[in-house]
Amino acid sequence: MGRVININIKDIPEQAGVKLVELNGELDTFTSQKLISEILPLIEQGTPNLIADLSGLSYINSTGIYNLLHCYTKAKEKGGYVKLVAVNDNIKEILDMIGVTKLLTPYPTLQDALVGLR
Amino acid sequence: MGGLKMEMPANFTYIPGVRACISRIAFNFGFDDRESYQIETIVDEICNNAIEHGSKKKDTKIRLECKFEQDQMELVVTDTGNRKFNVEQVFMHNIKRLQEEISKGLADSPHRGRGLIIVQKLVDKLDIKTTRNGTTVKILKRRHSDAPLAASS
Repeated sequence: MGRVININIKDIPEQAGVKLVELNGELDTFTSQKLISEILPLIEQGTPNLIADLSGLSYINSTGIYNLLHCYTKAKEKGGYVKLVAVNDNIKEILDMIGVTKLLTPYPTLQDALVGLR
Repeated sequence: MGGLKMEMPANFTYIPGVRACISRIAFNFGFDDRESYQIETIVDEICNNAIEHGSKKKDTKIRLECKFEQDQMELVVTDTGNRKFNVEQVFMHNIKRLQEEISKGLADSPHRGRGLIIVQKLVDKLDIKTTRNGTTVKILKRRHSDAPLAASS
């Protein structure tokens, strides 16, 4: 796993109007601007429903969390949402610690996250 | 303090390497995967804070001293001077505000300042001192995993 962030944005065939955002690498002070520059335009341009797959995310710090919450707030303003899937235990512990998982509910898998949408 | 001593420019580019280095050393000293991850977070947040709020002078340095002993790690991070505010006071203000926001379910607060609050929750002891010469953050992190100590300091 490189100490960078790679962001892949994909359609979800079985769920129109929702984008899957795969985050691979580390989301920190050095890399999280990329999250903002790639995700906010998506939200602004009319796709505020996002599912973030964190299975490839090995690290997040408070700046990464701040920017993730910023995306959540912007999506919410547009009537959408951000859901998290496949969050590793170390990251989930940090998110729990500061109340983030009360807003961004983590789901074990993409299928679990999609269940409530159908 | 004995142990590892490092000095780095006050530049965010250095932090991923520094935090990973100390986290890896912690793992080799018997901290488990979860604790080593927490140590990576602790180093990251303290260094980020030192750079973000410390001196903006071109040649500012951040000093780290790290000592592994028995079942614990002691880390001291010092930045040099010219702060416009007292970090200790700002930290106390931030933690009160964020705790109130979390209790109200407002974790998406637009305010920043979560870094040292995360640190406080991950360490066994936290001490912050700001003087006219800079700020020193000192933490103690105990090892709770059963793995044997890999080496003595």
